[in-house]
Amino acid sequence: MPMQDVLRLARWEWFKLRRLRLPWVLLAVAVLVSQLGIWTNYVAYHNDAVHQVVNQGDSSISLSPDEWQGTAVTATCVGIARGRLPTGFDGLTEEQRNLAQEHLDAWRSEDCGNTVTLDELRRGFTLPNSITASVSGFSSLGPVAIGLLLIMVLTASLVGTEYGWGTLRTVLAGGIGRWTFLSAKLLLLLCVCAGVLIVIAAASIASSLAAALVPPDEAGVLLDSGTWYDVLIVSLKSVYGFLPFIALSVFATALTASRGMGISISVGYFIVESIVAPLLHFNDTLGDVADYLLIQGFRSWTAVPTGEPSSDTLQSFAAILGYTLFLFAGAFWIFKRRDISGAMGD
Amino acid sequence: MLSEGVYRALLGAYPRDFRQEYGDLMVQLFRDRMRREGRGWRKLTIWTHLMFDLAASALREHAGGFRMSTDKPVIEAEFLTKVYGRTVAVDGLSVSVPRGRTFGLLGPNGSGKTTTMGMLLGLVRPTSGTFSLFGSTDRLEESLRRVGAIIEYPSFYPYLTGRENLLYFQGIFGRGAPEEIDGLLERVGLADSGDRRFSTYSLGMKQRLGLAFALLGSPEVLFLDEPTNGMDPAGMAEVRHLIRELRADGRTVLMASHLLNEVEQVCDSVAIMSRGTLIAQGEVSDILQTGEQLRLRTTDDAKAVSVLAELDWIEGVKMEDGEVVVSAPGDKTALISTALGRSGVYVIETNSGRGALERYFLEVTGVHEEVPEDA
Repeated sequence: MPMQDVLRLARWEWFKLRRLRLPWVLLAVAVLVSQLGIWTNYVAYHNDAVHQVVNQGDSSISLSPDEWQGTAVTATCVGIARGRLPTGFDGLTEEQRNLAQEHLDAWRSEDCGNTVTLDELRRGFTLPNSITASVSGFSSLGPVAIGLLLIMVLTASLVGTEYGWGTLRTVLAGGIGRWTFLSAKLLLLLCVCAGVLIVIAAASIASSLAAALVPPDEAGVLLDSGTWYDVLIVSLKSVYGFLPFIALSVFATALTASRGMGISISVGYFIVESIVAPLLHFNDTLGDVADYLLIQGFRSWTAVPTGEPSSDTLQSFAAILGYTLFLFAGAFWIFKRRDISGAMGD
Repeated sequence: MLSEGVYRALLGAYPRDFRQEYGDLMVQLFRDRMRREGRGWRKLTIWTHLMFDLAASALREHAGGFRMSTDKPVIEAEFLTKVYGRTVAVDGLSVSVPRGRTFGLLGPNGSGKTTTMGMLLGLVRPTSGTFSLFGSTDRLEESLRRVGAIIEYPSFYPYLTGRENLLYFQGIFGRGAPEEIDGLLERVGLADSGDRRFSTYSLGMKQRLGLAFALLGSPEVLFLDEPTNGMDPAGMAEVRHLIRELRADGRTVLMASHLLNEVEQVCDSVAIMSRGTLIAQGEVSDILQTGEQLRLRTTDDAKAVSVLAELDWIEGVKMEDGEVVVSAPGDKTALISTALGRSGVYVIETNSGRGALERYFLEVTGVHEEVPEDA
């Protein structure tokens, strides 16, 4: 399997792929979803109500001790985050203010820990954090795990249609090695993953630029704190994290020789593990096992901080590597051995 | 290796010229098969099988009943077998296709033709048996780069145009130059439809694109599985003409078909298969020499039968399905027409009807026995 053959085939796979509608639709969905976070932060930064929605039900406190004779102080986490004085604070004496501040500090540290601060919101739509956030939001297990689902659908389609249309037979009859062909597809998929992240990064730059120019922030902030190094680390981690899901999808598709079944099995596994893993944690032993499942490994891999490697980082790195190697080995083995029939109409 | 030594010794029973020509290849095939499949008792079974076969072939060779071409075979299969569960799709098939020949695999649907081609192209793993392409039993992928093939049904990317499909395959195979594609499309009659999506093609057009695909980079050997499937009569004639052109160019063609007259018209040799088994094999011309049939409709069929029965060069004449069926060696249409005209009987219509190959095919496959009477 000379590398030059794989590269040549990957180039021609791109020739085919770019003429399909599916990858462009998936890319559009990926970009739209990834930019949603940036603009949500932007709107929440400028709007109290949206800020409260972002905080998913804002926590509040009302203080009215008897000795204050009917004077009440009301505060919300978002209000504090936005630097506003609690309602009724102005009418208090110095002594009452000190007392109220003590209560408020205690409440804030307990109930407002998850409140998104204005700084955090601003960093969400300014460079370079907007890129880091949109890339990691796309590839991590967010509310819909959109990145993983799109990648699995694309992978199963790229491999499964060769069976469905019967073109695998046409390709292999011309002397293309099975491993070479599959390797070229995988190489292309990796390049596509990297490409998608680059497009998302470019869209994030455009969004940040727009956020700095459109009202009410004309000539507002474009660059904020945060390092460009994090962008690189998050992107590399995302591509690495995609590997076992690409492998799972290729394995399921090669096993069933069907695009539809490939998508169903890989997405089905994703859903089942997401449901079963939390249940396993009710038992200590099974909970330990659950930590080594694919999605749990991916979750901790994308969740761990980007700084110094921790034991969690190494464990999730090893788990992802193990799943990737195992599933790819299975997929290649099946792909190599299976008889190739004609079009299966999938 | 002891078994190889015994095998070589048995080869000594063959005539010297045969040994010189095929000895090394046979030993190589033997060695490959033992290496691939020889495990425990299986090894002994294969060895015994090969020894018996070798001895039997040597006896036939001495008796002069086993004719080998002097050309080195480009495609060679030995005891090729494919079993799916309890179904034997191909059972111990041994064929040899010399360079520059057009070889037909003839058989009814389900006889194992496509499976055989699939095995030779590396798409289907043989359950047992060996094969070689260009004399090589390994490095199949390398050998296949010298082969053009369409199998069963032309499968291409439906969202690409015909031209883009050819461009893609040319690119991945690294065969020829993009400029050749226009010529290929023209050659197969798709010059005006090359920029249409494959999904909009009719079956005949898909088949034509399949032929253009098979011709990419001018391969030395072509595997054509039912190449005229779905084509109109004019298209079929064009394809047959194309295959004859390829043969004239010195290409080797292995063509699978269930159409008897197609094989009769374009092939030099034919292997007849039924239910996965090779039933007969030989030169088409040899089979055709056994007699031609001509079906006639005349102004007076009864008189025509009596007139023709009087002629000594007519092998047989009878009425069948309202037609006069005449058996005569070679093409005697003009003579028959003249003889009938002299007796005042005029030919309204002639066709070759069931040819010699068809009769032979029906005889050896026993297909006619399965046709219901009301069919």
